[in-house]
Parts: sequence; structure tokens; C-alpha cells
Amino acid sequence: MAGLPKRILKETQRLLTDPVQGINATPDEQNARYFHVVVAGPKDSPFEGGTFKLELFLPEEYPMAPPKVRFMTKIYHPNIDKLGRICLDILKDKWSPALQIRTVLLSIQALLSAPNPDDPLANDVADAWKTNEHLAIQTGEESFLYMYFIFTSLLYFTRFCLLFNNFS
Amino acid sequence: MADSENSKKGQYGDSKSLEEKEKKRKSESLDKEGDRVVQVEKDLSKLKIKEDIVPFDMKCPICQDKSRHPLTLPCGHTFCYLCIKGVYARQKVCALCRQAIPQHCIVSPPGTGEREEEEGRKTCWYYEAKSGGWWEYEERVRQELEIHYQSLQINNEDNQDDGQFVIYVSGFPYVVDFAKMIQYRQDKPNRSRRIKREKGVAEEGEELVRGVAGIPIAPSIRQDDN
Ligand SMILES: [Zn+2]
Ligand SMILES: [Zn+2]
Repeated sequence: MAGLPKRILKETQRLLTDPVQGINATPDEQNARYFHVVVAGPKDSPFEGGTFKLELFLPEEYPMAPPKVRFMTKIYHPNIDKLGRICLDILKDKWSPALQIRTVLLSIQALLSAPNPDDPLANDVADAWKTNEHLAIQTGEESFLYMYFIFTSLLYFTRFCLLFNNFS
Repeated sequence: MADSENSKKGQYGDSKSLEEKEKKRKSESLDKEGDRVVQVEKDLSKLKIKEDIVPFDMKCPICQDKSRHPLTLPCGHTFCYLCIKGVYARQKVCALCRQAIPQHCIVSPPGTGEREEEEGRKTCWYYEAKSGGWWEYEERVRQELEIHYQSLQINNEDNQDDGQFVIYVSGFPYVVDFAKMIQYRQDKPNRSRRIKREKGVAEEGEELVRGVAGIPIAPSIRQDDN
């Protein structure tokens, strides 16, 4: 009866009408707090060409508490365990209620390119909020944020190759 | 972008014509109580659409709505009082820049507890203040309470409802019991407070109304009222 908080409605609406490049998030028909997510493996990463299914759940406390996100597709990655659980600080102690579903998914996409980064969103929530809002108004795209992630990806790429080889 | 702008306008336009249709429909079938629930929900969704045109600098980064009883922290970032109170209860740092939130900001907020003007408002909802008097519920919580209350009146004949439900305030679950007219945080059932619903909108300062959601009415305004 209580219905969904306005914020969740708005986030969902925008995810559907203005999706992030390479990320598809669709709410479940039975449960609007549960999202089926498909993330495309980022360009220039070992995951390029692959698609990865995830599940994302918004607990009742959201956005005071972070969404629960898990990889459903098996993936070999130093920050993702066998059960698909993700080691990412913004999903734990560095969560901020100013982050959103789309920023979380962008962060996960970036994690595929750059394992174990000091997550840029953890340090720059304010920028992410501003960027997210202004781009939504001006161009409706995430291109700037996306380029930013590609840039950080490249930075971490060398380090990633080493880690990845060790892991597998 | 042009497309998405158009589609936004389209939605807005649709909601207006929906509104008119709904009015017609309402006058035709006022007796049907089920329709009243629909009407309440429609009213709420109309509010939501209108509020969507919130300038960025007036938007709360947490609820992403117009900041209600805004509180600006020493770092310069502004949030709804209840939103940042929820953050303070958990992380004690600003949601945008992670600077520590001083306790006094939350415990003794500046007097911005004035009631918001709202057209067509018919009821007030209050909860008991710890040290006497009443706090008015924050606008959004009050709207949710009223919807629950009205749906309970309608469903009462079926007697399936025990008159209890849970609302989230600052990210914490509160049990509201309409049979006993009390509320308590779900994890602290022995600390219940009385609640009351009143028809009409009482003048501020009447009946020991201290402000909204724990934020006192600014002292100067209170003097004016007296
Ligand atoms: Zn807010
Ligand atoms: Zn701040």
C-alpha cells in the first residue's frame, strides 16, 4: 500500500528512458525493488564482448542503506567472489545516500576495467551528483562520466593484467 | 534530448487531461469508496509530477526532491532536515563531501520548522514531543499517514486490517498504530508516542504545536503568533 518512494520511481523512470551506455537495468514485474541488470564488458578490458547478469535489490532503508548487488554470471575477477558478491567500498562503508543505482552500476562497470580501484565515486560523491544531474538536463548522456571511467580504467589497466594473471 | 523533453511535456500534458477526466469520473461515482483511494493516489501522483520541476540548487541530493526544511551544514551542502538526520544517525558525515557533521546541527537545528503552504489541505497530523506539546509530521510523512488512514476507513468493513503499518522516516522503520493512535520505532516498541489527527489546519502556536518534525518554529515567528 505504501508504494515506492518517489526517489525510486524517478530513478527507475530514468534508467528506462535514459539508460547508461553498456548497462541495462529493468525492474522486476513482481517486485519494483528488484532489478535485473545486464552489464556489457567494458571496451579494452579482458571482459570486452561479454555480457554479465547481475541482480540489484533496494532494501527498505534505501537510500540510507546501499543497494545489494550480486553478479549472477560467473566471473573471474579479484574483487568478485564465487557467489558473485562484489568487494566495492561504496557498497559497504563508503556508501553515500547521494549515490544512485546508475552511479553504482557505473562503478561496477569501472571495476571490471580496473580491479581494486580507490573508487572515484567514494571520494567524489559531490562531483558525481552534480555531473549526473547536469548531464541529465543538458545532454541526457553520461558521456563525461563515462570518459572519466575509461580514463581511470586505462590507468589501472597494467596493474590489472598482473593481478588478473595471478588470480587465475 | 529534444525527444526526452517532448516526452516530459507529453507526460505532464497527459496528467492534466487525466486530472480532468478523473474529476468527471469522481463526480459521477462519489459513492464508490474504492474510487476514493484511487483519487488519493492520483492526487499524490499529481503532486509528484508538479514537483519534478525543481531547480538543481533546491534539490536535496538524498531524496532528490525539493529540500524540505533545508539544513545547510558547515561544509555548505544543503539537505532536507530529515534526510541528513538519517545520515547523521548512521555515518555522521556529509553525504556529498564526507566532512564530519557536528552534533549541534542535528540536535538543535535552526528554526525552520514553519509549516509549508499547501493548497486544499484538510487535516493535520501530530506526534507527541518528548518534553510536552506536539510536533507536526513532515509534509511527506503526513501525506503518507493520511493515505493509510483513509484506506483503513474504507477497508474497515472487511476487518482484515489491524490498523498497524510501517512507515520509513530518515531510513528508520516506525510502526504506526491507528487503533491505539501511537507510533514507535520498530526496534524500540517501549518508547511509543501518542499521535493525533485533526481536521482543519490549526494556527501555528496553537495547542502547543512546537514545529515540524523536531524542528522548532523560529522564535521570532512564535512571538508574532503570540
Ligand atoms: Zn531530502
Ligand atoms: Zn558537504
